Amino acid sequence: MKLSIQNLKQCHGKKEVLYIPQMEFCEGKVYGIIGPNGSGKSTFLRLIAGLEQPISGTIDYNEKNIKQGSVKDVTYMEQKPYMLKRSVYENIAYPLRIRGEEEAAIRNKVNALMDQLELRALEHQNAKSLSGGEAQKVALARAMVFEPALLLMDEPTANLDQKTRKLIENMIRQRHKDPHRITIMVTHDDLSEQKIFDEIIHIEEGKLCILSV
Amino acid sequence: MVDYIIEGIIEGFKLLIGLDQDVYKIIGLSVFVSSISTLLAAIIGVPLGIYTGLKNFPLKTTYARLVYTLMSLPPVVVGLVVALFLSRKGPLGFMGFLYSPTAMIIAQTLLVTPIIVGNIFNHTKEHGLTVYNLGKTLGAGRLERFFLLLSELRVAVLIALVSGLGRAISEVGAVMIVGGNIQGSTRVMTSYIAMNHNMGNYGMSIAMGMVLLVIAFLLNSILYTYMEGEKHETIHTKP
Repeated sequence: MKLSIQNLKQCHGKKEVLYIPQMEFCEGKVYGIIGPNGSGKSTFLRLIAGLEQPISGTIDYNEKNIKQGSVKDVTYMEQKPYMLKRSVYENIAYPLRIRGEEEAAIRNKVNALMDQLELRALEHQNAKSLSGGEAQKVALARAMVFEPALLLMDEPTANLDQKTRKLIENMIRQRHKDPHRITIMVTHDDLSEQKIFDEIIHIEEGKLCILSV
Repeated sequence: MVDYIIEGIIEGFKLLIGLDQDVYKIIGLSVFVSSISTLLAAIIGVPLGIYTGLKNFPLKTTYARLVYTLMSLPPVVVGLVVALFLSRKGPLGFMGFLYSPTAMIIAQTLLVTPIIVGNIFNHTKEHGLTVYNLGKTLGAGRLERFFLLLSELRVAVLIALVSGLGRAISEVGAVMIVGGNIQGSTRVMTSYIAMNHNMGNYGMSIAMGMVLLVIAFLLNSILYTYMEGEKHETIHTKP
């Protein structure tokens, strides 16, 4: 599995916000994207997720242009995740329901994730009433529950305490026991989270600057 | 004057309690015509409101202004236009719909559709894209995303439906023109009130007025109860 980018260019209005001539993401790796505010990190993830259409260039996922519609094994977790107007349990179960999984399998997977992320007490609570940190955890569970091959996360630990950050770090490690997966994560906390990254990409003023391992 | 009104109210109660067949026939036709019109308007208006709310297209602002203008379209104007189309010399005159409940349904559908489109368009414009994108990133197909959006906009949809039904059941101009207020055929509550007022039969007018108020109260109560429930509810299928 491979994600490759060629001559990717994006503008917001007349301003060029991102230009990446060429880049490849290989399976089995966790990528961290760092850079100052407004440098184009989130735009980069949104382009890969297919939520924005680039001005020019291509993003190929498994040798298919990602523009070709919603790819079932790619997901994107936003910086401020939207909670569906339903319970925490149903929020996490949603991706499995649309994939037609059986109720027993859904229950097992959702319960396992809720236990891992300490969300059990909130199971029946309306997700709209959650705090920022709790919503972040629910969004993470929702993104991980269907085990996507390509996981894109925009500052997933922004509202979380140290303990939960560690928990998420472990979950990402666990996820990468399957060598065919790619995780790309935008982060501000470059110092504390560098440990989980296999590669770190610096983006500044829409340009890819340093690629460190 | 006060006695006049009190007498009217008493007479109105008598008519309703006495299960007057004509009165209940009129109420039934009113509810039927307005419900079908709202249903048809919802079938057209909900998908159209969602689609136009999500899409970016040239002249979207002009489109929004046009929809908002149509939301306050005068019923008599709609009635007049529909009547012109359905009249014997009109382009759709061959259908023979004028002065029938079908004509009333057509007129009310035209009246209610912009109300539903406008409400749904507004809500979709605000939150729709976020929900739609979330569905996309979780792997939902087009139809699943539509239903996800519909589920997230359920309060807005209910508000639009109640507003539409309220508008349809309470208007008199359009049904009067295209229906003709024919006894036993196209007479509805509002045209009945207008007619009886002209004839000085205040009791009958008040009776129908009370029914209209009760219907409005019931519709708003349903909406209020649902919205209150939404605040506390967790939609959960217990495993």
